[in-house]
Amino acid sequence: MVTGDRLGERFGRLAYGGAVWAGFGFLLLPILLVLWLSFFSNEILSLPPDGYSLRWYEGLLTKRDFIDGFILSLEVAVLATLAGLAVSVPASLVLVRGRFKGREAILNFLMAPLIVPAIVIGAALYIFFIQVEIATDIPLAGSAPGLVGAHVLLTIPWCIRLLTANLVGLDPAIEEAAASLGARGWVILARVTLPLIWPGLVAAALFAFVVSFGNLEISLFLVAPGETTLPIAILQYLEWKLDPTIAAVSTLQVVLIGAGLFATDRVVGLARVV
Amino acid sequence: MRSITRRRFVQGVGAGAAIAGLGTKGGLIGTAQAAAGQVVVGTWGGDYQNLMDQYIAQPILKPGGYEIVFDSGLDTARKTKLLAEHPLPRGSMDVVALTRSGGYEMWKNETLLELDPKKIPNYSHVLDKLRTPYSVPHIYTGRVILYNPKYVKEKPTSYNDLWNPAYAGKVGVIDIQYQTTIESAAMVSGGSMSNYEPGKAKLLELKKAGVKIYPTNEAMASALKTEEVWMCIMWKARGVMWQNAGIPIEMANPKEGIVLYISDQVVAKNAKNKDGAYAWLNGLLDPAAQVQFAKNMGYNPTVDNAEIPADLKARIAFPPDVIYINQDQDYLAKNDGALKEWWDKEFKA
Repeated sequence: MVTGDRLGERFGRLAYGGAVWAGFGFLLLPILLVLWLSFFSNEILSLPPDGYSLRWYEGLLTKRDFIDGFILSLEVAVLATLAGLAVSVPASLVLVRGRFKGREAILNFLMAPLIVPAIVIGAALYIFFIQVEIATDIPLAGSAPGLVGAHVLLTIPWCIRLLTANLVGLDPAIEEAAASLGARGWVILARVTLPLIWPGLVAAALFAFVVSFGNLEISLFLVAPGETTLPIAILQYLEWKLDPTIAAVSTLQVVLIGAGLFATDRVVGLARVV
Repeated sequence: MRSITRRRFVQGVGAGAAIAGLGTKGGLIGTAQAAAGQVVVGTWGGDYQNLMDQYIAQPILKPGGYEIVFDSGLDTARKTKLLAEHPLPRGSMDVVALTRSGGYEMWKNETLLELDPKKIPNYSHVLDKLRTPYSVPHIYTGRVILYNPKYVKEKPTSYNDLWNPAYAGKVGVIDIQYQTTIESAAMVSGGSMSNYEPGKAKLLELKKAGVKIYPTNEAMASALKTEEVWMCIMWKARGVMWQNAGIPIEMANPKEGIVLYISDQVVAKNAKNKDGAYAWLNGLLDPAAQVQFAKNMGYNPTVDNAEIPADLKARIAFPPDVIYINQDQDYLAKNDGALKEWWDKEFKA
């Protein structure tokens, strides 16, 4: 931050503030636009709006696809988050504490799903599942474990990144102190390590949930007949209709995730988490 | 409706027990039902699926003991599934909804069943121009010119009218419709359904005149609504839908001919329930159901015994004297990549 009263310094402060607010604006503008659009009464989006209405929100209550899709997305995201954490917590501990050959390679391997386009992961997994089915007769494509398993691939990199970042900042002396007082491995993990990296755990769960909940590409190939996730339902709706129903769905989604963030903030303090 | 999920879930590996408490409708596991007459229909979701459920699955198939499960998603995903599942003795879909080109592509890849019309009593009513050995045409429309009569005073009669200097800068094209756009240009510049090449130079003229390019159909709809664009080419059914949404447009038939858009449904060679698939295909052609698709979506019936109210017919049908044109699927399959590349590198650049 620029301090002082000289012209150049004042200008610097102004420019800095301007840049910060422009950044916020850039991030918030699409959300605010979606919110605004969801109240337009006209079917085709155009400016200025013909009027304002709540009818797109009312209509949502009768749209089974969106409700079913929301429930399935929620279930898949929760399970994928839990499974992602179950893999990532021990992996992060080993990767941060351990010094062994191939450590970097394992880290990169776990982060790899981030650099592969999701549609490629979806199609590749689908074809792999079919090959498994040809070989073993176990139908993974269109099964719940197949779908959740694929989403776990999305959640792992986020969990690993956030947990390792937290663990690096954790002083091993605290764990050593616990050990010197007689605590064994599991006790140290449950009563010392995990409580200390709690903010990292919450952040990892939060990011993992959001990434899985919003994923379209992987689910497209792996969802079972008769099932749909919310992003697929939204895409399919758009195939035939242009009205602001989609904006209403998106607004509700933003509100829900916003509520999640708010709750997280109250419990652990978002500033500590991210 | 949920039984396949349940069966697959139980057979699948993994954390079954952990999830077992979460069974709700719309969730990972639902109530198991008898799978005897289940038919899985892979299709576009949204309104199209809802109408099929309301006017075909419930009133026609259900009384016969068939339970229809819709597998909704994109047609590219369905094509991938047909190809990937081809070696399996039983595929995940019985019936698959595809565009005419998509169906042809899958037929050439030998993933589809050759249909036996004797098993589809309603097939005898299918219009001749829409028939193939492997598909039941469900709905169809044709490509027309959409125009805003406020600015385009004289009703267009040819694709050439898009090149009229009076409308320079007010003509729009859609990025994802590159194939049909080049095709339309070819139709007025000496090309044909098997040779789109002359259309390229013609389109570059349009570019010079200041054509507007929109990424999607939806973006074009907004541009027509705000009167940023006065004229474009589009499928007639979509035009009807846009008129219903209050977009100020009229439609004109190009004298070069009406290129058909056909939405087909096909049966996978490895369908689990072939009898059910045939029953479904017959339901698609039911005249009463066909009328509902005309009313709700603006598509024409594919059978000759569906009675459409006169006022609706006037909006969606084509006059008896128009020439219908079918796309050359072999040509498109061979040249689509090159057409897209030209569009991206030359036309859009």
